Amino acid sequence: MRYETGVSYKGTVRNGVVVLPPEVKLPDGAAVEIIPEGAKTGGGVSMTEARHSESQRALNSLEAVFSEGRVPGWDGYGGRAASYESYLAAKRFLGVLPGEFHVLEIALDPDGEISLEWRAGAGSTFSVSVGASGELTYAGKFSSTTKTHGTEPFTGEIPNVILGNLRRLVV
Amino acid sequence: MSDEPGVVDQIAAEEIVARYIFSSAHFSRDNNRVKHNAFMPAPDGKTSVFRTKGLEGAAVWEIGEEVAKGRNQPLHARADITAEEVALATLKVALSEPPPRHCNIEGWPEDFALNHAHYAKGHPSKA
Repeated sequence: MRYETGVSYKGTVRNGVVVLPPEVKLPDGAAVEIIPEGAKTGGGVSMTEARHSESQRALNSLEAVFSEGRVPGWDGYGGRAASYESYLAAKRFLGVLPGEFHVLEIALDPDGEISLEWRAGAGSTFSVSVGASGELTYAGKFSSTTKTHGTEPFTGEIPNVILGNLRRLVV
Repeated sequence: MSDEPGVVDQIAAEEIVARYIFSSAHFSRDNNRVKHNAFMPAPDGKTSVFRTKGLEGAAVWEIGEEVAKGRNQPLHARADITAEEVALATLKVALSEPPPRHCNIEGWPEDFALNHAHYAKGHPSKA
């Protein structure tokens, strides 16, 4: 297995739980990535390749969502047709999103805007709705008492407040 | 007022309402979950749901199939949520018949940003 950064450990799955050797000490809440031995191909997948794959998956998902939502009423509840401007802005957003922030899901809102969502564990979630006129409406819940929301302009770079909230999810 | 025996107008906190999903963009087979966008209100500011109290599984799906027929759209999935979970998002389930058992999730703020904030509060997505 090749990594650009970081370290890797080997363990086994017992009763659905990954068991690492006793000498491996990871802090509570540490985010880990599990790659099953059987899933390795051609000598392993590099982090760069994995990120490219994630990026491509997100773009494919965006295309699929936009394609399905092009007809008014696509959701069965009178939803507006997917906005081409929102689609283009979402594509630009994904293009400049740092690789470590994999988008979990891409969806469409009833107003025709593209929505991106990230999650980390139960109840911890962050979403960004990409407006047709370039605004990013975000909301996040990081614990039962820690929540945030707001709107930022999208000028071709991910606003710092959004990057900060994404880091809160992955830390 | 509901005409069905055993279905009273008062919606209890533990009562389940079903949101029928007609877009594959509103659920994820990979992650086995319904996306929060499936609960976003329609242009009229309401989210249409149906009470399923006292119904067997097949009967719950039949309601969705009927709705799908009326909208000429395929029924893809269903999300169940309790009235209590809706209340946690500072919204409410209000009876809105006909059709029988139909309700709306109401109380959405007009401002879209606040709508998202509501999701962050309660995140009513339960596959």
